[in-house]
Amino acid sequence: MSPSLCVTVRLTSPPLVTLGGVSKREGKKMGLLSILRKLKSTPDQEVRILLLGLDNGGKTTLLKQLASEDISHITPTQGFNIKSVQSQGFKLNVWDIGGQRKIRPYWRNYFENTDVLIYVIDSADRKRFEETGQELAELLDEEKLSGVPVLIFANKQDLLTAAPASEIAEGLNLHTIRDRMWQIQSCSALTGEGIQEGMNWVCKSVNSKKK
Amino acid sequence: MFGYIWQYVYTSFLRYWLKWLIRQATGTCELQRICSGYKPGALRTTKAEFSLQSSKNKVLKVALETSTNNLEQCVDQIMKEKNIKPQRDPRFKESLHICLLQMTGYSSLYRSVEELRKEVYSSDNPKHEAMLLKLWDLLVPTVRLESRITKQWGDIGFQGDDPKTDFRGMGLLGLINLVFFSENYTMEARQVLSHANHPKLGYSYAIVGINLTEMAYSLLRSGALKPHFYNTVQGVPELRHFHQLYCYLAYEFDKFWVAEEPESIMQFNQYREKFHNIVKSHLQDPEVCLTLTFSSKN
Repeated sequence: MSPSLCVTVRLTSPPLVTLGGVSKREGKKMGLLSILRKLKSTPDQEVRILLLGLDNGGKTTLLKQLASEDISHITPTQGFNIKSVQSQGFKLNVWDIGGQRKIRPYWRNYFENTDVLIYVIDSADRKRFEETGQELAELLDEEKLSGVPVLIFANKQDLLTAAPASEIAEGLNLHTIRDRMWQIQSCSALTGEGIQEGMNWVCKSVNSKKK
Repeated sequence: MFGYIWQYVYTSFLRYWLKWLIRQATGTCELQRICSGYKPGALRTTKAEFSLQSSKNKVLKVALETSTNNLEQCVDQIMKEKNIKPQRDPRFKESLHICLLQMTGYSSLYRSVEELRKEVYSSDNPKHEAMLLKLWDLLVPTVRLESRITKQWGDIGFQGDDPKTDFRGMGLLGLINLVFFSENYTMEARQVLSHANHPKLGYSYAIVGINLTEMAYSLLRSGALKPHFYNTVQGVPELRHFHQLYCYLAYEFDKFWVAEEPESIMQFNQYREKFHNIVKSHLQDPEVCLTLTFSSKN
């Protein structure tokens, strides 16, 4: 299955779209996508979300938590997982790509048409903060991801040794990001805490991007 | 709809009358007919299991929850209850006993497996650590591990410098399976590892192994492995039988992967699903035996 195939933005009502005098035909010229994005709160709009981060960050647990699935039998992700979740009038197609170093070169195959990037960090694994920061910086430099809003989940806050989100934000120099919307959210994919807040931000950023 | 009604009528009334009728005609109860009519294995045990489960008789129903040591007594009680004379059906007692050992053994095997799965890998536990190092030595005896935390773990398919984070939801069970395969089928395990390290067709040996442990575990949990164990173990299935099944999956998955030549490791879950379906379809066959076809060194 090619990842790009799954990306469609569609309306449930017939696509008779006229916006400020722009006819459907002209609309096509400037990209149906961009017009549809201008429509606020379109029901069932599909959103492509990319879930990245180092191995053992908790991406798959987060994905399963989003889909309300059992999280007790998770194994390392070889390749990728995908799930669709309904949330606030959106159909979120979430792509969870394995974080192992060996398959990070494949990440770029999934960049195209990404609406929001979610980057997951193991807040308790301080030894790998530098590595995770580097990977994130490289992602933010990617042309195909330019302008894509990024949500950073400071995961595993249920662990006593977890660094607070503020410390991680500072370590990653998040305040220097100027070319896109970004947000850091502390969470625990295990207990579910903080995930809803993060996803609210995701939906909000998709909405504001369309305006 | 009609199917449902029929099923309801059949299970609640018809089956009972039918059994009674046949019993009057042949002078044998359903369990006797099952034990004498089917050869030992999944067919016989599955039918006996169904018969016990759907029985309205308390003595028969509790048989499935009886512990292994009390099963013989339990068989005696069933024979008394059903008025079965050992002289007239001398083989019945032994047959039913084996069936019951298999049925209750399956549940206790699941409990033991679950216990191992729930045991989290801990670097502070010397037994766990020894097992991990043993895995390395079995798979790559010619190369020394430079240190406990090293990139070398990637050579046998762990994700990072420290394998401990890779066991996750499968806990110690994942490691034990990996070690069991390497120890009892050393040549085959190394052969599979060499395929996994192929530059183009490769995959991550250890984490795919852990993934296949999950497959074995969920098949066990759903009851799908019953026919396999009923056919291969004439008694109580033990942990090693479960590890054997893992070896089958590890070896067969590798064969499948190599034959399919997937485009890249990113296609893993697709092919895993395909393989999973093949295994499940094998398990539909009442004669199923998922055993490796070559002899082990032990």
